[in-house]
Amino acid sequence: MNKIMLKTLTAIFVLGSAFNLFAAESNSITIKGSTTVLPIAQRTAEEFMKKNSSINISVQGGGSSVGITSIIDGTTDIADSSRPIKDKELDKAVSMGVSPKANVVAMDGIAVIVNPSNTINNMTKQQISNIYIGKTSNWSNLGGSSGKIVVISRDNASGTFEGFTEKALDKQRTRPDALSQASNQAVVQTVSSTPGAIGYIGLGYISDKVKSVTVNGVECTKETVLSGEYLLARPLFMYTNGRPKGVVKDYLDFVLSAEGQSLIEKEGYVGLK
Amino acid sequence: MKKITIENRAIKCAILCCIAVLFVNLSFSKQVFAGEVDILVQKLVEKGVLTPGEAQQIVTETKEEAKLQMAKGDSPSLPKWVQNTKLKGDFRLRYQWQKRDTGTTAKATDRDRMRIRYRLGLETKPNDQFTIDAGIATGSGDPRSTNVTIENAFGHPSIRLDYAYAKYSPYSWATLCGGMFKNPIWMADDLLWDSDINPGGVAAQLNQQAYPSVELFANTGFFVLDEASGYNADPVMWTVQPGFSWDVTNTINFKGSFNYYGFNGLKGKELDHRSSPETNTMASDPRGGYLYKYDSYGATAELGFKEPFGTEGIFAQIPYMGAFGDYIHNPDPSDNRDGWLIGGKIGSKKVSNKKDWQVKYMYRKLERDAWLDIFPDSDFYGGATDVKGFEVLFEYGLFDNVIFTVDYYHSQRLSGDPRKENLFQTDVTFKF
Repeated sequence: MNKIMLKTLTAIFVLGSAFNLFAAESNSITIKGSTTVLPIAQRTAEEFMKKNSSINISVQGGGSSVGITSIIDGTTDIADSSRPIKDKELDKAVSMGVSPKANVVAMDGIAVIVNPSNTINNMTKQQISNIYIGKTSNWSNLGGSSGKIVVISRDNASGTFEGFTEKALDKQRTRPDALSQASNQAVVQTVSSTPGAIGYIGLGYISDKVKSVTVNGVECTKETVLSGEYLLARPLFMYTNGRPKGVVKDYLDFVLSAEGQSLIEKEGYVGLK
Repeated sequence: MKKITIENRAIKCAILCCIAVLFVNLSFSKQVFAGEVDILVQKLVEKGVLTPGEAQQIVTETKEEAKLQMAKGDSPSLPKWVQNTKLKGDFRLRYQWQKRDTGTTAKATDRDRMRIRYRLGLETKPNDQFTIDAGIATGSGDPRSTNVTIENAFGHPSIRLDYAYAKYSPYSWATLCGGMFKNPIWMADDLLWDSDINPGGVAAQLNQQAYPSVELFANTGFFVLDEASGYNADPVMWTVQPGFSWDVTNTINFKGSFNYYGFNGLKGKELDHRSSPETNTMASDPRGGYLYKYDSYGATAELGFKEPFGTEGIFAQIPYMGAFGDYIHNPDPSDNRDGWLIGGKIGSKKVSNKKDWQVKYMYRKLERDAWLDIFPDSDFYGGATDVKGFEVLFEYGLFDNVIFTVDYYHSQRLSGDPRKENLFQTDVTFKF
């Protein structure tokens, strides 16, 4: 038996050494997840790498669910998420020995946008909900010009979709004929080119191409988001497995520093400082 | 009011820690509510101690921390090892119908049975790096079956120790196991390994993210097959399985591995719990035992597509589609030495929640001496080699963790009289 045991231990040693080579190169950080948090991660990662040339940061999107799944299965160091982790995900994480630590890096508002040609300037939460669950289908029902409402939504892997469903729709299902888009930019593009369209995007993506309507009379701005006055506001997260350590901690410290927060503001999000 | 600016991070950290501790403690109290923490933080904002952003950060992070502690079941009143212990298991109720041709006249016999399976596991973590996991299950000593048939005028079935092992995780990329443990070999199907088999010995599992989209893994193990008198005489096997998982795109994943199995002390011996019928070639000399060595190599692969038909339209409800395959080759015999399986599945990637569903089809051919007849799926022609045929499986989530399954096997012998077998199983499995 001892010869075979020796072969096995040798195989374990050789494979372990090979894997350790990869592990030794741990001056790299992998970030995956929310497309809403993606610009924050990209911008801060670029600046962090400029200051720390030996550290390599890989940033990928995919949606909040993808990020959280990845932190649970150990394939990312940081999970970007535009929603809090769900109880089901938390249970799965704990059962696999993972402790997802929430690190809030910024705040965001979900702005409701329409085509600039639309005369509607304000909508109530109920009106928005009625449109998205399919009870209202014409702009004339809201006091606008007659025309079919083209409902633009996000794919269900998106944290923006989750946040909007929870905060604006009280978890009711989006109408099945809503056009699902994979990113904030795609929503802006579709709404800007479709006169009867309505969509929702992160605050950072508001531009002249679309009109952001007030919700219950409150505009989506940094001040209203931080004060909690704006209804569709949410924190943005970078989850880590346990308290951040090593280069991951260094990076998150940078994100939360005055410089990092300033970069976040430049991307159009709401800084915490 | 004059704003107070606190630049000292230490003081802010202290405030944060106090609030976090307060919040976590309050989470376990029925008398005090989270709203009181919000009020406290709001007061600090009004006094200018915290900015509104910092207040949002503190409140959100402490709420999330409390959720995490609740999920972990952390409670100051319980010992740490109790908090780190969990029970798990399942119960399965099965109806099985089986019909196998019995001889050259091809006359078949029917058999139907009501069977149950119960498994209970206890996993505890003495510390962050070690895990002790043990489980009991219904069944006799057969490593390939935890079923018991309801029979013998309500006779009580046996319970056995199903597995017991210690796991050591010194690094995030390495896990070492010793004892009788869940099979460390990754398999896309059960061509070679019945899922009830829990090998005994030592094993190591390594995995490392080589690139953002590529994860490398390697599984290796040293398994004891029997214990006999004499130092070098014990039949043992060792295995190495290097492989990788590649996210080709956000929706396409490929996972593949090379598998090598080496044996020692096997030739000339015969192991327990062989298939029914026994199919490996045995030596005709008086000493008997296996005629061939079973040092084998092969490969396993699975290609998966998430939302293969997009998120809109009639097929949008299909979340996953995959194709998989397996191959094994034993170089020792001159013929009857290959085995392979191909299959496909569509539906949910895994069926565990209400309304999850999956349909799976597999076709396999496993020649007589391609692999030992003590390992393959015992439901496919009694776990024998020298067989071919197909399996169709449908699973549906009746409720969360309550799964309905219909499984049909059609198989036959490769050599001699085909002696076809049809096996139909319908199960309801309750997982906890």
